[in-house]
Amino acid sequence: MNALRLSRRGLLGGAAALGAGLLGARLGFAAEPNGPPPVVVCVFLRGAVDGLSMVVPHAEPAYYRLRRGIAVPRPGEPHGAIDLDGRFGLHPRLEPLKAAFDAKELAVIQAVGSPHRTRSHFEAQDYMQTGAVGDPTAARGWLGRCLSARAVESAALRAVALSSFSPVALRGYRDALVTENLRDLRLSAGDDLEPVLTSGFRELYAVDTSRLAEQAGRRALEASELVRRVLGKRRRSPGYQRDTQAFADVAKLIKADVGLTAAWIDLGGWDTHRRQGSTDNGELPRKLDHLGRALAAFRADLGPVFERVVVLVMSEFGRTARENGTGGTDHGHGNVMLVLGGKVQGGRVLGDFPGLAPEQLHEGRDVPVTTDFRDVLAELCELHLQLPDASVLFPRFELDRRRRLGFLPQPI
Amino acid sequence: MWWPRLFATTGLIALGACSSSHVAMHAPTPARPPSVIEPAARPKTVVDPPPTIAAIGEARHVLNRLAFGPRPGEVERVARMGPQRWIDEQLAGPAESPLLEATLQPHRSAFAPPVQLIDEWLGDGWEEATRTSRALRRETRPYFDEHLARLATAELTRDILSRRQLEAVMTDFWANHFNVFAVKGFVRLFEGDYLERAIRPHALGKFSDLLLATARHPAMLLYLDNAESRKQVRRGRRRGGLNENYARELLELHTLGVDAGYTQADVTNVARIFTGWSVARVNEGGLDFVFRRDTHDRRGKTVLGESFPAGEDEAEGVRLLELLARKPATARHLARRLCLRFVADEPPPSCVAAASDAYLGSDGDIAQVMRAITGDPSFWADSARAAKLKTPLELLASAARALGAQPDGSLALATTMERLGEPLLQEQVPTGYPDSEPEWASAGGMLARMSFASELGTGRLQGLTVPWEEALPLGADLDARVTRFGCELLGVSADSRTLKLVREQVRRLDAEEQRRAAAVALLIGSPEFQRQ
Repeated sequence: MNALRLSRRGLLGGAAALGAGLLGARLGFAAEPNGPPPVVVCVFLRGAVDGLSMVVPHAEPAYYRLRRGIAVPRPGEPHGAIDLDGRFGLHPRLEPLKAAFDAKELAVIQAVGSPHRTRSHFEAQDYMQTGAVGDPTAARGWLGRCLSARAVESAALRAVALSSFSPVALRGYRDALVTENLRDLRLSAGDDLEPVLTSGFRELYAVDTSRLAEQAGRRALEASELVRRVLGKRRRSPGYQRDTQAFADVAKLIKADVGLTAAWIDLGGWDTHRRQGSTDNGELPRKLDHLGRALAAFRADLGPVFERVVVLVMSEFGRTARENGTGGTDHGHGNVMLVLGGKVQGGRVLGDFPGLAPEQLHEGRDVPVTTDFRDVLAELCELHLQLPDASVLFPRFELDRRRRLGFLPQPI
Repeated sequence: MWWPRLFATTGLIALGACSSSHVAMHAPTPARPPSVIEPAARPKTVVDPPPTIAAIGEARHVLNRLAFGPRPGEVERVARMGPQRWIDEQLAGPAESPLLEATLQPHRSAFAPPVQLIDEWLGDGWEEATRTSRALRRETRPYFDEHLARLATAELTRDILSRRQLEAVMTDFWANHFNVFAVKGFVRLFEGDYLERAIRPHALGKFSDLLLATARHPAMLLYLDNAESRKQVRRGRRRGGLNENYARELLELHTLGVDAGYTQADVTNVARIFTGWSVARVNEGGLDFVFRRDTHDRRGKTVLGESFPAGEDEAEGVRLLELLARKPATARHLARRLCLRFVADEPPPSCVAAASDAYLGSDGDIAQVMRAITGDPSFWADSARAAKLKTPLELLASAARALGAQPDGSLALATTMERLGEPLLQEQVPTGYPDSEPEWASAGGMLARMSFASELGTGRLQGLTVPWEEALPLGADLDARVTRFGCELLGVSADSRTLKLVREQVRRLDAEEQRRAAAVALLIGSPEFQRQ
């Protein structure tokens, strides 16, 4: 068991590969509809974003008692939250998202997360990406498995992960292309030797192997030409910061119709234990500012194409309801998720938020989890990515479609 | 160093490696501890018989895993002395090379304690001029980037040139295990001191010493916010209280491991124990560890069933660290991490058991643990050889070593690590950089490796001076020399697929220099060289 535990990140070895094969057979295949595919964009805020700052429960007096130093003021006060429904409000630096909410293209899900009690970043991130909550040996991710079930041709850019490390959610998916920055996806060979080195590396990496590095190398060489063509010359698009350039690049890939079905964007730096700030100074307001602007720019960029895109903003767990002794927050439990998209049934705050009174808190300190994240992912996979039955994505989880939150329209 | 010269003249070794490694690579050899070859009396005038195939394979393996790769001729040297003797020498800590000392000289300031560092930047009297943290930050900020680049360059220089290779490898391992993010706040002022005085001296010593050194070091106290954590205050307007960041990572990452069964109450109580472990401010005559009695929570606590009575002050933190270091869960956790690093991405149970037993039997002596790991058959197994993906750092250092390259004194190597995706000392999260292939085998990362190899081969890589005429001399029989160079570099046979492909590509070029450049680029960027 102990050896297995560490191998949680192991590649799909014997047993896992076998399981994957069986899974593929059980999943059944949805036919690829005519026309461009639906796209899911997962934005993972690594380090556990403080959801109580993102979407503020401004009607809860307890919120202001627990967070004397870092609370976001009530709507109407200076730097106050931007009211959504009389109960919750957006952090003022997320103001660019208000238009999407008003256009009913943004849904907020409150008190969502994993039922597992862990407050370990890496453990919680793994569970949220494998969907196998409590099973540290699971090696493959829900998104990759969901995509595998779509019977479509392999494509160099079917799924991209903009991340320095390979996200577990897409691990094991043959078409996943992982790169921290799409712009880096070019061989720096020098002018004279470029033809020889390019063809040389292509041949060297054209080995038939289960080894991931070789596969990744081959995929990189295959995709780099296409990526360069699609992205064109480097130009900072308005609305995007240096740390959110990934959104601009993904928008270009979607518009270029190269078959992109899933994009995973990792954004780090949300682990705000100290001086996280309220609305003005501090790391959190700055990061929320970049996130809000990037999401709004992304939506504007895509225009009518946004109709076939769903963006899911998530994080491994929430943070303590009470601010800690150093003007920050520690690891908590339930959190908030955002769902954006042209066909999203938004303009609503979904999920059951019980409140922040001591008896309502998980273990007396955190927002509880009243919506299992797997219910959200199942709705996304079934209603957007047309997976016939998402229950196979989540071992030991009783999927009940009556629990659907309804952020996506039901098929007629 | 008479071996390489001797064999350069006889040509024996190069041929030997080429033909014999074919067998070593493909014929399965039973897993067993290394063959011990009695070192011959030297110097001598007769040529020894070439080392056995098995000994060459073993030597290559230890140099890939326990060092940052072989330098020219080193595989043969270690094969002759016997890998076990090399391991013994490394555990004992050989004298450092004068070349390293000389090359490090311009970067010495990188390891200076913060006060000395600031003295150097701002001149005497800065304590008066910069009494607040804000002022200090403003004044020192212009020096930050260069300082970090210098520190990274110094570490890389050590990894490339040091004779104490195992110590360098272990320093990298522990710096990653006890990761701090150098770019956070003032951490960068302390990072060099952290490596030089908290990590390196204990890299092969007692784990409990290492643990205590990191726990008390300002780099860690600032990175995981413990410096500001204080007992909960309920009265009056004075705010302040616990920050459990360090406490949680201490249990989860540094010692017990995530699955060891501790509770949230344990985390909270550990945080209470470490209240008061802080960093002295400038106007306290400081920038060093300080125990603040007034912010320490003096009430009694219980952690993992062990009681810590009221009023033990600083001593209770030290006692807790000793307790944690002795826990079997800690032994298992560290054993797994070490076997993952040194043996395989899926740590073999026999290795974990051997390492864990050695840890518990030696009161956490890291050298004994390394002996146990290298004494376990799984370390030498065929399946373990040339199997693990090199990290970007291992790639850069091993490429430089293979070519006999010398850091050129510039700070360009630091930038190279950034382009390879793992800038030294700059991983933001406390878990450190990942250590298994599924986590970092990314398309972007692999292309970055090929680009690095191309730049190195074509002479566009800054930061290293390569003695090309020694590494791979030009001349009429370049093809044959490329083959020999490739055999030695990759441990493959002359007729391997890779060497055939490289020869074919190289033949498309006319100029000798270009052919050499392309050959080196393709070989260093080849799938085989990404493995260790």
